[in-house]
Amino acid sequence: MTALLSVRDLGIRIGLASPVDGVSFEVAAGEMLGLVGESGSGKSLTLRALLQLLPAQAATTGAALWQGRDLLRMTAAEIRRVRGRDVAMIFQEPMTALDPVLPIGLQITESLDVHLGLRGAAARARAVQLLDLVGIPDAKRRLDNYPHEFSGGMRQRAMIAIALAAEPKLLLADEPTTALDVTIQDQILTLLLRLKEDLRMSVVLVTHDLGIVAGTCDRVAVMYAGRILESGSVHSVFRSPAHAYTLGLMRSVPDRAYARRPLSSIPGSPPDPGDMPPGCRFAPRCRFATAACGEAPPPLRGIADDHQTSCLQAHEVRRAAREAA
Amino acid sequence: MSEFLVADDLIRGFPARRGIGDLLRGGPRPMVRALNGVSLQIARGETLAVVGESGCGKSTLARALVRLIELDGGQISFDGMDVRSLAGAALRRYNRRVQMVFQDPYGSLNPRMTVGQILEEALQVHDMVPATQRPARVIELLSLVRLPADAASRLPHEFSGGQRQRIAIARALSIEPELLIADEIVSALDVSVQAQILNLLLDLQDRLGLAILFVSHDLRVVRHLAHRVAIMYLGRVVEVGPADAVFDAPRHPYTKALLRAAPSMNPPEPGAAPRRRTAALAGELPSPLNIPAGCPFHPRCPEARDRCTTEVPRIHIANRNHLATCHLLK
Amino acid sequence: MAVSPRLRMRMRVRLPPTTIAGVVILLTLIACAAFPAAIAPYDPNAFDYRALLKPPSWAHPFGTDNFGRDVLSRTIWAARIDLGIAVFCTLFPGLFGTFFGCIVGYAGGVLDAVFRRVVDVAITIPLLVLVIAIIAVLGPGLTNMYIAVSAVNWIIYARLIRGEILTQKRRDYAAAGRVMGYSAGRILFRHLLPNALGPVVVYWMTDMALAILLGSSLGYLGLGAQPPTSEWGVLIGDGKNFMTTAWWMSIFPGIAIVLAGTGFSLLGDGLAAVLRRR
Repeated sequence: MTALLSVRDLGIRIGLASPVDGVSFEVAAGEMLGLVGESGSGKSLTLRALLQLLPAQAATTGAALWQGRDLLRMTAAEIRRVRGRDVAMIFQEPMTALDPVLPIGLQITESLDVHLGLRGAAARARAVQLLDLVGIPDAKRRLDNYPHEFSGGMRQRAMIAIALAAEPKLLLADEPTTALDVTIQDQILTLLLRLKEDLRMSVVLVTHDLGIVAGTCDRVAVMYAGRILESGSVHSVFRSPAHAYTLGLMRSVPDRAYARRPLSSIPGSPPDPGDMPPGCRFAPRCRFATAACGEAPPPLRGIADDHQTSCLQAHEVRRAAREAA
Repeated sequence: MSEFLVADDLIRGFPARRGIGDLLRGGPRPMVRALNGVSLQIARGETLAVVGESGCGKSTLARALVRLIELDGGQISFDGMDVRSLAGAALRRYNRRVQMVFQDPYGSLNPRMTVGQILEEALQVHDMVPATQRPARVIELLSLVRLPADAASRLPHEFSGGQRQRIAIARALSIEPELLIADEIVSALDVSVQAQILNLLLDLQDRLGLAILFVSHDLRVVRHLAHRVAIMYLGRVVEVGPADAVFDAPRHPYTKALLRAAPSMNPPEPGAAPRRRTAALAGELPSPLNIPAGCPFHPRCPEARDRCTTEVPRIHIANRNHLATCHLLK
Repeated sequence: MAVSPRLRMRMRVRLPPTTIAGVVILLTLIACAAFPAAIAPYDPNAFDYRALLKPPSWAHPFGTDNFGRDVLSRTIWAARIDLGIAVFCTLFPGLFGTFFGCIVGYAGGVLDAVFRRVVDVAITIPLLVLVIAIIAVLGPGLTNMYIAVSAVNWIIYARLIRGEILTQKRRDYAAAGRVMGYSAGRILFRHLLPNALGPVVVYWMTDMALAILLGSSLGYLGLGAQPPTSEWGVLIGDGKNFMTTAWWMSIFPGIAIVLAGTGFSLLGDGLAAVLRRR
């Protein structure tokens, strides 16, 4: 199956630093890919690069193929046609992502006008449909409300409605639930899952929460210090992690089975963007690391069906994972 | 085991701003009821977790316990003393025994004092050790929180979020408190850094016999750390009990929803039943200016009955230690 | 756990050339103020009837005045008076205003409400008018000028620091201090004040420039320093009747005022940049 989105060797340079380096992944139609990493891993930058939303000083290399065309090399006019129409994006802070001086209805119909040429009564009707679709009650009245009149969860739903207005085939979600309470987060994730299935839409979900990925995504890519260290189907990666960082991350998450026993934490902290180690960027903190790990950046290689890793010690890691389970 | 800290029916409201419309219409000033009758107990050496979402009042509770915020009603008693009436030297003695660590690692340390100065000040004000021994004690405290001795000469901005939280913990511990109140201290940290801090707390509790009141919104973290758990909703405690009991056999519908909503680390088997298409809990948090009558949870409760809309539920004792406030538990 | 080299580099203060220029100017003026006898070529009060109203020359780079006194020497000797004005018109109001503003900001309540009303009234009246009014009561002279300016100027400092204290008061480290059982005095002066001083120190630099302008204006009007004291404003006043025939009498002291003001402003800007970076 040809992928809808194929990112090849994406790199982002800002000044002397390379916060993203050699990132490659694919998203198929109707699939949710989780891009997971801690702060500084470059996951948000990667997402923004796809729609050319990076600051002017950033330089991108590599390619992001959307239906055969490279998003990174499009002209301003071309990418504007893609944004909102084919590929939409939702953000972490709905209050800053929504225009505070325009009613929600207007923000939706604006998108309908620009991308689908829909105006007037037809546009309003469609806007009401969209608000219904995302689960905002009393949709007709709420079209005229301003963002500050919505609660956090409702604002996030409104943002999703705006994003869906032009029926995009790919939704990029940059930590959409990080600022929300647990029960509201659950509502939004359930909504995204339902929309993905009903509209056959693909989603790239950026998050730092492994639990969210396990519960909603089909496939996952684990990022650290600007690189993808491991990727594959959620089932395979979670059952049998094949990178020392992934294993360390999973072990850091408090889990019901090990209450009140020390968590195995990863010592140290991530490298400075301007001062990256040669070789595998996780090696300085890795307890499985060997000399080879520090020499050259290891490439991603397949180790099982739909499961790739760049860890030279993948065997050791998988053995350790099995033993502890 | 005598209860160490007992909070009984704590009440605190904050007056809300009035719009021009409200002023013209007259009537009483709207109040945000942050604490609406909260009762809790902590035993020596135990970790009590207080869990809830935004607006439940858990941070107000934490601050009220250390007298940063004054209460409108209720009693706090600590080791027999009436905390609300303490002042002056007596209050300072209370501060020595009950300490707090804050959520924001970037704001809770004075940016212009070195770590050593911050810690020495605490030692000095409470006269913990003679002046000549303070530098050595500072190094001991730093190693207690797993920071190197040279951290003492550095300023807070030279440290990462996780390290700053450790400095804040060292500051709190420098005066050897018996109860530590941790107000969402790991919420702003990455997962792997969280793990380091949680391990540290477990270790400190072991070594120092510290009691901990751990405020958090994250059930997974709480499960890992707590002996007992209290769940709060809109200014009230809706359920409290031993961690195992609350997590494995929750009584209150809100607790059940929280547990269902928490992301789990176990992905479903491929080809197995598709993922849940309905959320764990529907509806939105009501405005704290307008708390629903009867049981405040009833508008969102999947099991609500008529009685729930009019009568405030009383405490139901599930077993010796496990309490919940729900009409359905009879 | 080592501090990365990049972090250390950011901490080293790099002074821009404008700030260095400001420092050089001020050091020159301070030298003139400290060692006028060594630097000035002539006695500032020595009359020389053979050299009345002489234009600038090698012998008298700034020319001479209507009594044959060397303008350069008088300008140099005036530096100590004007720098003195800069210091005395700002130091006392600064210290008192800061102290008072701290208390008001931290205490809040009635004290703060009263203070805010006082400020509201005070800022409606222009500074110069208020100062002249006070001098009219006390009489002209340098000391009275210090008293008059101090009496009015402290309010600005108080207002500034009050605002900063209000901001710092809300930070968690202030709350942490309270939980640690620290006294209000300790929290206010040991914790909040050092973090609130930045804008006040920067303003102090600007204020010194303003003080010189104010002082020399009053000197020109005959309300500040009195002749024969050489003070730049007085010197300008001395030359006001000779503007067309002996422009050098007023212009050079005027340039000295501009230079001093510039020096303080540049230094203030540099300080502001350094403090912002922290």
